[in-house]
Amino acid sequence: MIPGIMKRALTSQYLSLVLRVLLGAFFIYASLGKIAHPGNFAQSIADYRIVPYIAINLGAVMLPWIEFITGLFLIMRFKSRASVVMIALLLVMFEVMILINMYRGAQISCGCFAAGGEPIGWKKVFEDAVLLVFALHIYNYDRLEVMKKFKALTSPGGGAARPGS
Amino acid sequence: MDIEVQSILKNSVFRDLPDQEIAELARTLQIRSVGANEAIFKAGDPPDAFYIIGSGQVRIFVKLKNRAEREFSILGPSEHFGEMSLLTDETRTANAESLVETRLLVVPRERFEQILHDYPQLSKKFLREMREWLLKNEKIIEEESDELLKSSAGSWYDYIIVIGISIFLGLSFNFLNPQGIRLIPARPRPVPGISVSKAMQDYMQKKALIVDAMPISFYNLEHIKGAFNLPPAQFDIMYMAGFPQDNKNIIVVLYGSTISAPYDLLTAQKLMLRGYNNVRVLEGGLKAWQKSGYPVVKKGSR
Repeated sequence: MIPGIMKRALTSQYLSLVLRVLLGAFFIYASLGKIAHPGNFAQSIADYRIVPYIAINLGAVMLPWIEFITGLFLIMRFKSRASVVMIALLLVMFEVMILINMYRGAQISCGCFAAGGEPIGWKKVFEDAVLLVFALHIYNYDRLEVMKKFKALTSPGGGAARPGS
Repeated sequence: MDIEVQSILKNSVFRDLPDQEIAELARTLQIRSVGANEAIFKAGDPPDAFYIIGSGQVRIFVKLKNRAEREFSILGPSEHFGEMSLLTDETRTANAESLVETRLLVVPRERFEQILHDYPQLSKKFLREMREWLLKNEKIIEEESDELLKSSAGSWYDYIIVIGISIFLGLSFNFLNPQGIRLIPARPRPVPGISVSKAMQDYMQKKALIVDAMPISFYNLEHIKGAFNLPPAQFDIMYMAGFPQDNKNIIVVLYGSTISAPYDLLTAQKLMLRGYNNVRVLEGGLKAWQKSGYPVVKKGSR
């Protein structure tokens, strides 16, 4: 009984709704400082020593806007599935870049928000992992948008009668 | 003939009927032969009989509004069809069509209803069968909704919209932003190089300064002993804060570049703008310096 309730709570679409707003707001918040100061953000990206020089500025201009738009769309539930997939991919990319630099041993700042910011480390890795779990939850359980179109599942009597009823 | 029909009935849905009843049924039912791909009944027909297949194959299907067909089943010998409309007193809801030359045992409506009346447990069998169909449908719905969910995430169109809007806003905002940056950074002009040993020699004779152009966090990690830190991003502050400015003819040996930024060349530009006319880039950088066994300051070893 208890695990049943737990499972239903953990897989509920309402939890997904909360996570969706949280994750979306977080991405929007994170993008603002970087959008305002692309030069600083370009330096942060350069510190990671992964992106080639020629692509640094383009990345610094585009990436914060991708964060902003995916975050906004996620909250608006407009193209939210594509958005959450892109957010998950971004988070995986951040994790990889952070881990590579932790392995290299440089005390660079994360560049996650505005300039300066916290240095990379296990704390950041953990934070990103939590956000990634949010994204996976939304991907798996935030089904309303798609399911609304599928009559058999949403409207009573729209599909086949339930066996046993 | 009768024996053959009886054995078919023995394997059919009627198998639990008493032998006597089966024999009786075998005598009274009609045999209908149909060629290949022939309609046995169509959706909308009034129900007249119940069918058991003697030989051959029958396909049960519905035609959907969008002209697609949905096939429910393909039935073979001893299997039956046509009971649904008889049980519900409605017209046929599906089509039955032979796939090959087929022989059918036809139980007329009145006879079917009489058997059902006499052997009520038979209706349970039909009921169970319908329940199986529902469960099968339920499974199909589940599978298809999963499919739908997956496909909705994979719509490239959505990704193109999201990325397209981001690129458009990014470019236009960067254009309008007073803090905007060049999209493709300019390649800095090349600067003459200097070998490690020559640099060391000049440095020992106080003819040269060594400048580490990496950002401060990398400088703190390791740098050539005695090197000043002049990252291009903080050039003005660091230059003012104690870089020797008395002799601009001195050789300035620069090092520090990564895949992401030619820090040495960027700082070299700034130094040349300040009037230093003997700026050199250390050939091989910090690595070559270390390889030659010259002193390097590492974090924690100070």
